[in-house]
Amino acid sequence: MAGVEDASTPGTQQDEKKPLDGAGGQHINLKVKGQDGGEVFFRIKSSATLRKLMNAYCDRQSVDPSSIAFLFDGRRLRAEQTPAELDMEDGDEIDAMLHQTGGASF
Amino acid sequence: MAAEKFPTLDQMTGARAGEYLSDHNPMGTSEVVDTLRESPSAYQLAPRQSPQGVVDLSQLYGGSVTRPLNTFGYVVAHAHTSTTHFEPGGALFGGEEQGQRIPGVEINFGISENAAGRQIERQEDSGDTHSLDNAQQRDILTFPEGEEDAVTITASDLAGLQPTCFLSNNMIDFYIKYLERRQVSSEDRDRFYFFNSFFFTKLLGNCSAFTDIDQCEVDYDQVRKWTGDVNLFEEDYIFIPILRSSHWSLVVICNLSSLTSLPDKKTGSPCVYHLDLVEGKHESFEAQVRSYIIQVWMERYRDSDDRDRTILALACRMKYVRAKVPQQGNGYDCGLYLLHYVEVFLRETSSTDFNFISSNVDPHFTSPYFAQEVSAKRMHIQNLICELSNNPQLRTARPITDIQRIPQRRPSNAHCPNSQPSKPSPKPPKVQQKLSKKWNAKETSLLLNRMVAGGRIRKGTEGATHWDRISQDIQTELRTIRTEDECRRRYDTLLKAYKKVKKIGKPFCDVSDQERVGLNLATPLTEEWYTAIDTICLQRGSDNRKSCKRAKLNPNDENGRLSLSPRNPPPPPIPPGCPEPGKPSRKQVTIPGFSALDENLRSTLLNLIQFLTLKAWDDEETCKLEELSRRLAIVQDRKPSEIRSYIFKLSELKLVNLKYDDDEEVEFWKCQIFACTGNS
Repeated sequence: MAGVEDASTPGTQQDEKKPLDGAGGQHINLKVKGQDGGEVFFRIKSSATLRKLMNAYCDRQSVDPSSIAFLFDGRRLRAEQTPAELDMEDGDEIDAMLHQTGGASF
Repeated sequence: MAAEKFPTLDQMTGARAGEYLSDHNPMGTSEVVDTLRESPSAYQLAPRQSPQGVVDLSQLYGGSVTRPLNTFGYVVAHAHTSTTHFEPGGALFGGEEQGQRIPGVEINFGISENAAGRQIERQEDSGDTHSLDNAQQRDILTFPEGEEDAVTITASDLAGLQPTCFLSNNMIDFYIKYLERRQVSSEDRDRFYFFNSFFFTKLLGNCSAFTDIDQCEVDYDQVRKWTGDVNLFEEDYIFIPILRSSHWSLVVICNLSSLTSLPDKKTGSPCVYHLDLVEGKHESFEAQVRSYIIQVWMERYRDSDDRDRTILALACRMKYVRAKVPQQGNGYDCGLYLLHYVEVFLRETSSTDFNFISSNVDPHFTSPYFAQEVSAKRMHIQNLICELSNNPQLRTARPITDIQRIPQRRPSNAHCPNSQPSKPSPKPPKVQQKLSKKWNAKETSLLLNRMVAGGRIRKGTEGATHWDRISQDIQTELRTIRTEDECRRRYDTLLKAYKKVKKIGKPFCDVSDQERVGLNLATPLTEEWYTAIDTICLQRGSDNRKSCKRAKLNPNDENGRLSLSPRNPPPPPIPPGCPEPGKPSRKQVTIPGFSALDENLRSTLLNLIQFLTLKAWDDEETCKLEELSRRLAIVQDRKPSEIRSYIFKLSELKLVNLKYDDDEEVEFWKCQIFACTGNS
């Protein structure tokens, strides 16, 4: 649960980013849903970047962060974005999709 | 029915399909090989980048076509971990902690550099312990820059463009996005909708790739929000790239708009085309696509009077056609075929009066050059990425009419009418863009700080690292995103101004406004900049007498922060903004992070570079430096790249210009250093 705790206690990440508005300090709960249907919940300040959440998720799942694409409503997320920027609300769901390649074999 | 309305595809689906296929497109592997042999230019870079060869048939069937490159990162990573100080992702981000990479920050990165890097990594793999802090996953390009749904291409995505390798989600999404932005004019853009390559996987919910498609239920809730405010029933063409069982195919939903548009609009009835590049490799996705569309309709038009009638039409009358298209002749190109189909669709629809259905353009799908065009695409996309990563202004999502289209490498094609859309469109207000590009005083001084500390001349990876770091500093300190290219250009402007000032012979601050206009500088500079330029002039001027003289004319510049001292020894430059001005000494040199180093390391570094003159930098010395910095890194528990960059920075300050005569001296210093650091 280290990752989740990490995400819930705002560290330096939060200080780096100025709150965009008055509601910037609010905590919200986000759900990351893997391709296998597994769900992980994170509590994160809406002004904190998503980097921590992403790293924590990848740590938990023991996957390389670069092998996962995080999507919110179908749009790719970048680590430096914040929930506030993206108008995320409490309970919103992020999809963690595995990067794959395709080429067809015979 | 479809035959009448889709003459283009009819030729592939109808009775004449056989002719076409036998005449033009029985693209067996051998013919692809022939094609490649006939058009070596398409692959001119291939041998260099892929020493294992392009068209070796034995590789084709070996079942490990992509393995060498795809598993490459892991092999390399493994090799790195055998040296104590490798940290993934650490190379180009020397100052940052592991895992703190910022995908939005691009690294200026050339293809050839990549190839070279890989060769070196390969050597490492074979036992060479030379430390090269190259990360496989570094980000190369983000497109369209600054947008919410931008795609970030990493080095491993790029590796997928190597001959015989598979294309990744990122590459497919990137190129489709690129086509959308650059090949569809802004008026036509709302007629197309492009799903990304994850859509279909998500639509099938938890259905694994190995489950029989008939067992897969569409999970509409998973993708309910994906389209946002877009109404799919106002789109003419909806593209769904599908990745399943490591194979790409494309579904195009046509004319959904006909259900909602006015009757006078010239469109056909809705239908779905499935372009599978290996016939029968993908199952029919008819049930899934149909189900999705119906659910979208039900949600959006739940109160419509025509609801039931339309649903019926959707369910029954909408054709699902498995289009006969040129078949993929090999086991690795289907991603490229997919991209080429999208491109051809867009080209045809935007070249004529924009109605794909009534278009009588000779179908490119059946062009005999099709295979060639596809083959050339790997190179084309590589060049494109290279170009985009070198030109930040191209990365923003401007519509085609605003920028010069990047010339496309295509074989000459007699069948191809002039299909480049060249519709003029009103230019967007440029003032706004300029304003957002404007640098404020803080950034300027930060940039100058860094630049003075680091010097401008950097080459290769070290150069990229250098500019990247500056760009990162700006981002972390000011929360402004500046690409390293922007930093570089900004600095070039400064440099240009500096040279002009040199000619004038007086400090910039004294130059009158009229004279400034006469200088013909592209970018109008602020007062802050002029001061900054003078600062540089003074610092650099200490190297030659002429500018010394000039500087003396203005001794009280910058509150006396820059006092010129006699030439020998040369004074260390104090960048503007240095907290403790006026006392030039070695330890005051502002190098990012340098003051944070402990005393021991600082003096060690200074000692180290005192016997390494970087002026005549040859291989032997590089090796020595590498060796030293690696050992030092281990002792000091730092990254070799970090140590190296300190050394380079210090050397560029020309603090060090001593020569050593023989190896004995080096050995002596080595001993000194290691004795010193060993004690710490």
